[in-house]
Amino acid sequence: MKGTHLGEFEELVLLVVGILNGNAYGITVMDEIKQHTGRKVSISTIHSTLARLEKKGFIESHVGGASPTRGGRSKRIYKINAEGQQALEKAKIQREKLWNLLPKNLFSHG
Amino acid sequence: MAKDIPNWAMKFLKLTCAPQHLDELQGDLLELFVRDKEEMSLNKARRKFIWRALSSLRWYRLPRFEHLHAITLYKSFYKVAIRHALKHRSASSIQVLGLMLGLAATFYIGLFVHNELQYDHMHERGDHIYRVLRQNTQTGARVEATSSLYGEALEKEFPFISMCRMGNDLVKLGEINPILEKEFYWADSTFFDLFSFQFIHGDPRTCLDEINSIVLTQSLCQQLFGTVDVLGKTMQVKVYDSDDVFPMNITGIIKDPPTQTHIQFRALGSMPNAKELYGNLLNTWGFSWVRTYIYTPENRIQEVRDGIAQLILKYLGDQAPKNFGIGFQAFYDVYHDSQDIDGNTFKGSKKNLAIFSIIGMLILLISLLNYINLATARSITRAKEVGIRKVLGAQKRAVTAQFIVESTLFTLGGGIAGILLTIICLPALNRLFQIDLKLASLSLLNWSFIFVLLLFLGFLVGILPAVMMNKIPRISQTKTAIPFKTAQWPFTRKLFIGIQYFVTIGLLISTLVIFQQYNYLKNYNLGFDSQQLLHIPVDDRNMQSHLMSIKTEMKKINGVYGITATGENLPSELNNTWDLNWDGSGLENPLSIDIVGVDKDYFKLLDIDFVEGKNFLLGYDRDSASSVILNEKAQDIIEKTPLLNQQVHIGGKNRNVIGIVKNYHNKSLHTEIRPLAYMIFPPGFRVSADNLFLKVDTKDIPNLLPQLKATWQDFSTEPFKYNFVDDAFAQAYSLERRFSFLIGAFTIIAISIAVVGLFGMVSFIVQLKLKEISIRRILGANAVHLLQLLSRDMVGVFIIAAICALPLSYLFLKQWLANFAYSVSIQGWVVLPGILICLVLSLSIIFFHLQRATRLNPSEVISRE
Repeated sequence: MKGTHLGEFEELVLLVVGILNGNAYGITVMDEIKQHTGRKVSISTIHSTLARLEKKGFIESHVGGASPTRGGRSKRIYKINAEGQQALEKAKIQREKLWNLLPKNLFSHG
Repeated sequence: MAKDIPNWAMKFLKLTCAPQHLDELQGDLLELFVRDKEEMSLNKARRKFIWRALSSLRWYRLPRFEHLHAITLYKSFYKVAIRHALKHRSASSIQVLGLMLGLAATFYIGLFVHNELQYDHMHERGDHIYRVLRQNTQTGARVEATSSLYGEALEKEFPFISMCRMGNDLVKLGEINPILEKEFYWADSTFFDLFSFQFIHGDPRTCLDEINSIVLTQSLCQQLFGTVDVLGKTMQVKVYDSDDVFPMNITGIIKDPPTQTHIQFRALGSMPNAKELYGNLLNTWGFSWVRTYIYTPENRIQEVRDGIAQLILKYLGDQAPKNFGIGFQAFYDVYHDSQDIDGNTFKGSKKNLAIFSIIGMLILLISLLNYINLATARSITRAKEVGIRKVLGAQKRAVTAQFIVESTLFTLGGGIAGILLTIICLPALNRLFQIDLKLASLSLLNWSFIFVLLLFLGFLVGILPAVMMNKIPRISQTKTAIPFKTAQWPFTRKLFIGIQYFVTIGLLISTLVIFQQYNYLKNYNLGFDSQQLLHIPVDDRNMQSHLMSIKTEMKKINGVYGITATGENLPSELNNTWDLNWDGSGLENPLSIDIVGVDKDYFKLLDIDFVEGKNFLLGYDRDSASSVILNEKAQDIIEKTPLLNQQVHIGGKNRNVIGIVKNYHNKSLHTEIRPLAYMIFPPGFRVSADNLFLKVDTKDIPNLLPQLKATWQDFSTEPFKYNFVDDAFAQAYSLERRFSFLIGAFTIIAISIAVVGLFGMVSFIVQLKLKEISIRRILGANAVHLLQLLSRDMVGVFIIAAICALPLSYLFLKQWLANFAYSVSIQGWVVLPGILICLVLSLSIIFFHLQRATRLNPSEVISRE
């Protein structure tokens, strides 16, 4: 299905939302991605990816706490849901399957 | 913290981000800003914030306008308008049709005017260029040809100007199979400084600097060499009149001059050659052979104008004729404003442009009024809908908006349809009116202007129905579908219909007179027999000496009744004007007279009668060399009686007047008959015979032409060319033809709009009065009574409109006819067809609807609730 396909960056963001486990919002996701993968992504890119994932039904969001550093603006906290977990697992299984199909000696001569 | 952030950045976010995403975005950006502030300078953090804010635009979180109330409302207006239009198909199509016709005509006229105004505008310096004209200070008459001294004197006296002259010469180009080129000019080296042309090869600044330089146009170059890569080649240029030959160096090849400029040429030669050619002749003020243009930067033309009297005094002194003057004509006026200049061939006319613009506006006006009229009429049937809208809480503004949305839709639809119609018909229209209108002349800016104008017109015509609708109290709207007074003929509606009648009657009368004038010009008895007259131009110099033999040969051909050789074409150019004087004239300055070279067969062939005296007896001999035949006009200006067998000085030589012939028109009727002197010349002069005229049997043309061509080819290598004299005269009135055809076409469109409008209007009124009509029918009214009932108001309006239209069109036509030396007089009956057509059309429209109404069963109509 085209609508629920998980793109490479989407998969990354979805994983990070899972990792952050209830503390995922724009900035934490951005920081986490930078920390683990070294990729520098703009905050608006994160926002639109999160919005897309939500639209595809892999994550859910609720309006979270506001803080003075945010000028009184509330956060939008994202949480992975069952469908998101399934999608991640499916992606992982697919990948492992493909890894297993690689010829064993492919890397040995590296 | 918030104070560190520029306010506008936050506002920008608010504006570009939908509210449900705003907190997340603003909050995250602020949090990042706080973090940045600790790591870097405040300014840098701020810059980063601004950058993030500006690059935060994402499609998914743009504010969605469909949530705005107003948009929903407009969407509903749009929907209702479409539904309503579809429901009342015939009424809507009448409305769109009227608008389409009107806007198509207006668009066409606009395109025409735009094209005309663009003329010559490709020359970048045109704003500051002036054409120098010889001007008669007493009569104001202007002449294009100037002596080459004009330019030189002007340049010397006013060092800030730059001057360019171009003098026409007939040349033969190339050595083998030379091309006879009429569009060859000697031009000053400043030519390409003043005028903008596109160069393919060569340098515009220097190409005409050196002697023996020639610049060719692309098409001529192709014709001569088959390629344009001939820069630097040498070619032979043989001057036709003098047989001088110059080997000339090709220093430039340019693209052909666009048709939209009056600076037309096929080749330019450098001016120093002309100096060599004509020598001292160029140093006289009397030898007028060039067109002179000057370029004055910074609008200093006034200085030049003021200094002219001084200049003439300085250079000519006492020799100057009393009425001698020099005038300056703005470059862009040359095309539009030269009707008074003799020999003018430009089709531009400021007057005609003004007339067309006015007609365009009138047609636009009547089509808009027509729409308003129909829209207000139709809106009455929609009173219920509007009433319910109001009861449900729609405000006046919303009702107004609804009507404006509708009228905008209609004008846009009609406008786009009209423009498309014009574009599709453009090639056919171009052929019909003999104009070359191009859509490409409209820039993107013009198109957007048209679009905005359409929107504006839509808005304009929507206001009136809206205002009317708002005036009706809402209770009556919901209760009855057809309210009171509006159903009758209220004043505004009468006014609008009156204006339509006014324009239609005025146009009909004008068209009739304009066509009369065109036909008058075309069919005018020129005073000679132009029927069956074939013209063969003799552009071959060698041929001129053989004219006697070729005449004899051609005369032998079956179907040729007669033949004559003459120095002037018909219509004539009359380029040879000589001084005229006589003993005891007492004239300070000699008069002038136009010279026509003829032979003894000329008058007989053209069927021109002698008033007195006799024809030349033989060909060129000693006797004829000192004889002259004059026309009546010349007799009028020579105050000497009797004139026959007396001596007159023409061109400094005494000649004996052997005959006087009747006046006839050897030029088109734009100019009056001038004094003429007919003489016989041997070959080799500018006035020598270089045209053959043959009286032929036109029934046998396909058979005759090959024979003539064969005879021609026995004598000449030049191509055989011919035309008919009556065609050539008809061609001289092409401007009048175009004008009358355009006016006729626009009149038809105006009538169509009015008919379409009246049709819709009457249909509506008959519907409103259906019950009344039915009751009257039951009570015994016949068709005539009913026609009276319905047309009473309309006829009143019609009479008032006619009374206004008559004097105005009379005044206009009188002004217009004054442009012609020979014109028809306006006769009283010309008003009749216009009035009758309008009246008959109107009454038959009413009758048609009445007929439909009376087919219904009256008792059924009355019982309808």
